Amino acid sequence: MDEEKRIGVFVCHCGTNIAGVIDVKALAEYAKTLPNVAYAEDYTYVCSTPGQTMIRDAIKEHNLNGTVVAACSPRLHEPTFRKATEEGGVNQFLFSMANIREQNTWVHMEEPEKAMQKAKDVVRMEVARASMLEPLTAKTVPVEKAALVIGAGIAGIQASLELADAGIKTYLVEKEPSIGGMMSRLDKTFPTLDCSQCILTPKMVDVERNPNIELMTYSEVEDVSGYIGNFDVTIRQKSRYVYEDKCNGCGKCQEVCPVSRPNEFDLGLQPRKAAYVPFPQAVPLKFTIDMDSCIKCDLCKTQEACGDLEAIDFDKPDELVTVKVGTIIVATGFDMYDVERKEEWGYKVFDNVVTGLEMERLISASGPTGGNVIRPSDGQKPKSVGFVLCAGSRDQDEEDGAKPYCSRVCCMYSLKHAHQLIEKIPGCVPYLFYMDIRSFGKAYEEFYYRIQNEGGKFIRGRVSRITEDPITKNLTVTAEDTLLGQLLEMELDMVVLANAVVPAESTQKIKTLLTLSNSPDGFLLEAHPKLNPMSTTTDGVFLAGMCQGPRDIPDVVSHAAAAAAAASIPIHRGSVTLEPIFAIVDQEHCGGCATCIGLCPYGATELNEVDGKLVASVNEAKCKGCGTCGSGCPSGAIKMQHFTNEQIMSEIEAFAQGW
Amino acid sequence: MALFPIYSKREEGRKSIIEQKTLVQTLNLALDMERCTGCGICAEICPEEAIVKGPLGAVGFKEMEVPEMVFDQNKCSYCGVCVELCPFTALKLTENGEPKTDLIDQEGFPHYLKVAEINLDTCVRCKVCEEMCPRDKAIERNVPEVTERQQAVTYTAEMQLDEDPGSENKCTYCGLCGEICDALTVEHKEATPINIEALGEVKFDSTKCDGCKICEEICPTDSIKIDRTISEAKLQGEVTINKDECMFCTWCAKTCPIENTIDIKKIFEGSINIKTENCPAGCSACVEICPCNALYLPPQHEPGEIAAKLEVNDDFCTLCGACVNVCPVANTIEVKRDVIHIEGTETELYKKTAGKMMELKTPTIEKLGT
Repeated sequence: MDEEKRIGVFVCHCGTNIAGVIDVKALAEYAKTLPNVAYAEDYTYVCSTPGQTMIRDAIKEHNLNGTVVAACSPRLHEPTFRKATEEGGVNQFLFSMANIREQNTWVHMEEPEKAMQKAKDVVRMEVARASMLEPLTAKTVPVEKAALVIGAGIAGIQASLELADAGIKTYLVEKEPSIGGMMSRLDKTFPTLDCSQCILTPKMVDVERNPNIELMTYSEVEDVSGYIGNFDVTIRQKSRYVYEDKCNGCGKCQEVCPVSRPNEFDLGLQPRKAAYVPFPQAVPLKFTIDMDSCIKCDLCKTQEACGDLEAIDFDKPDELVTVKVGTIIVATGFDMYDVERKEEWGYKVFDNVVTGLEMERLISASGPTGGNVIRPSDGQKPKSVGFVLCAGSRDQDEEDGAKPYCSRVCCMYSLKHAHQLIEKIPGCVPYLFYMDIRSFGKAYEEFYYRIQNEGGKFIRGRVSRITEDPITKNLTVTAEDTLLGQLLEMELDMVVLANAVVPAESTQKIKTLLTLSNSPDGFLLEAHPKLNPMSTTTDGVFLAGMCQGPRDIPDVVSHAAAAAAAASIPIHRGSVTLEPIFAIVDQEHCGGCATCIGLCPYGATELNEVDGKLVASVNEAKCKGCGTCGSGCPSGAIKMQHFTNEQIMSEIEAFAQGW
Repeated sequence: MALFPIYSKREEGRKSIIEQKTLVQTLNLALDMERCTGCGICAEICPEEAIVKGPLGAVGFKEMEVPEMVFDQNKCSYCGVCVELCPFTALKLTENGEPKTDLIDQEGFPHYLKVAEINLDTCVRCKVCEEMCPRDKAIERNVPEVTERQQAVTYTAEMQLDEDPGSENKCTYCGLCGEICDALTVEHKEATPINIEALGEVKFDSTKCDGCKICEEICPTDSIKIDRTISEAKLQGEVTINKDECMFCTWCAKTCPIENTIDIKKIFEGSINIKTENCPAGCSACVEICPCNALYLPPQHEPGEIAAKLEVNDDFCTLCGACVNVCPVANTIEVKRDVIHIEGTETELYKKTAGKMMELKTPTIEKLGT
């Protein structure tokens, strides 16, 4: 502190983003007039290599011991400029960033004079702060050589296999009794028409066999503490009331069980017993007893059923397991939009209105009808089937909970259903009511042509109403054919609502546990929508698949592999660098009042006895640097590194000087 | 959110039906209100606690409505335990229209030991049991209507006619017997001057003879002898007990005029105890509801005598508990089942269930809004 402060200020033009609104040269000149500023310059793109070189060189040339860059938000380029500062030979934490783009020229472009004034204020404040900054040393911590994947749909399966193949111990947690997720419910996959189960099952089996994967099905993440490299995860293994090691999957318990409940896997289209596996290819093939509907008749325990295996225990409790992992991948998938809320389409009112996923089960060879598509009202094969695309997608009706975004899979799966209907039912005509057919993927547009040639009828218009003939149960669909500009009424045997994909309800808990955010659409927020769509703002936590936004299977698989690659980096590196922006307790002043213990949202503060006196301390790794403890400490014993009281006060004072 | 399952409840006539429907399976549990007595056993024993006792119907003389049993179509596991344990066979469980009995078929649950037999060898097919039975359809009396009394019983009848020329009792074919009885026909041969004696033939139709022997008495020459043997001193046909309808109250057995003819075993053994000090005289709800007419208000025998408020004839009480459910005053009636007669394996589920059924039952009054 005794050393004379010599600060360099670098004003970025950001092309015309900044320079187009304010006079950057005048700003640099202004900066030169500020106390402690030894050097100021402007440049088109400070983030470019020449720009960074400029910082480095200026530090050496002008003997600078602090830097301020007036440019964009620190979110993007703070690391860039910190590095440039460090390369110039100055501690990277002696750098401060003034945002004159997002919060200034972008929002005040109509008022350049005021924008200039604001830019001056911000630069002045950051110079003042930079004068007070202290050199800090980043800390490195070792990374646990294990990863957690939450959710075992195709995203979680892919991510786990990638991680496991990279030699990383992977805990795969799935809340349902089997892995497979939504993809296991599908019949065929567009546009290649591979059987979904046939391509998924081998991967499911691989998961079970892979020695690096510890599969935890019927389990839920209960608690997460710690930080990148050292997450402590508590997992509740819900009781199946069946010992997995003893159950051989013979299914005799299921045969004798007298209880009949709707099978969730089949969307309630067919029943299951209280002792069940959701579907025959389930992994693991271990039975689960649904205690909510079990009547404990003991038939499953008899000699003829489970018998000597003794795999069933009605008193088996849930188990809590704690694992330590370095990184976490969230792959919690999606839900389907509750299309019942769109009353005009009569879902659950008219027997023959089904959802896309229900059609998928009806059309599936392993579904309740063995692949015979039938009308729920009378079991007859439909000869004309309407498809309502964008059922809840691309719809601004917030009252109905509809979503403004495109769900990205409905056009294609409806095309696929159209193809399958033509193939399975001779003479059946599918009518697709669409807004735009979005067939954007590889070989998708070709598939669209194919369905057109096969006899699919495409009507560009939104279905405004569906009514039912109470006797025949046929449906009359009203829509406007926007290409012909005429109103259309059509009697159809059956209607499929291609309902939107929506954020999964179950993701909420994970979101809270991992302190993630969501984007306005409700899906989990990525670190950067383009350049980092698989990371989150929580270090060490990554996203895979539909939990981040709607995407089709190829995109999910790519996303999952990317997440796995990203999640494996810290593990393979073996250590991570932690920002030294954490709170420090001056234990001489600490009175041990424990106020900070209750305040810390991350559980980073703790009370220990030192020399016979209770004092607080902060776990540097857990601390996120929010400062809550510091502001609450009644004796002022807690100091937030990099955001000390003095540093913040200097900013406020500098701001006040301008007025 | 999904199309299925569809849970619903409907009334069909006097049947209250709950349904769990998937695309390929429809499960129905139907309560027949004609049979239900509101005893509440189903609510006591439902493993899923899907049945609760609803509010009591109108109370009025001979207009007693039983407390409605309310079934929760979502909670129900459609297992069939209640169907087995309803002593009044008021419940039916079906899968796609066919009876669903897999729990019992696989011996996952025992069923009541139902003993209700009529010894057809000793039964005379009289109507007493049918008239005494508190339930209309439990006694199945298939006895042909007696249109001609000769055919009411099984018998053989023989007629002997003295036609010996030397006998002093020889028939003169006078025809008197034929005139008074349908069973006898006398035909005369045409008279000739050669023989001045009346000749003829007496024909006997044994199916028309009812053994009254008036012919014997009226015959001027005592020529006729009737020998009628009743092989079975009873009416024809059969009287049986329909175990699906029988409440095993033993009314028929106790009132049968012929000893050891009806064998009925009550399903429950135990005790019913009436604490008349708590009973508000004159309400008679229990009397009205009792399906077996075991409860009664005793008459006043003499002027000035204070009759008891309520009494029970233990002989007929089946310990069903309907009276407990209907009684508006706490602790007036105590029903305690000690033994349940069953057939089949006593499974763990049964033991747990039986435990509930053997708890002491007494009216409890719940205040509204608590």
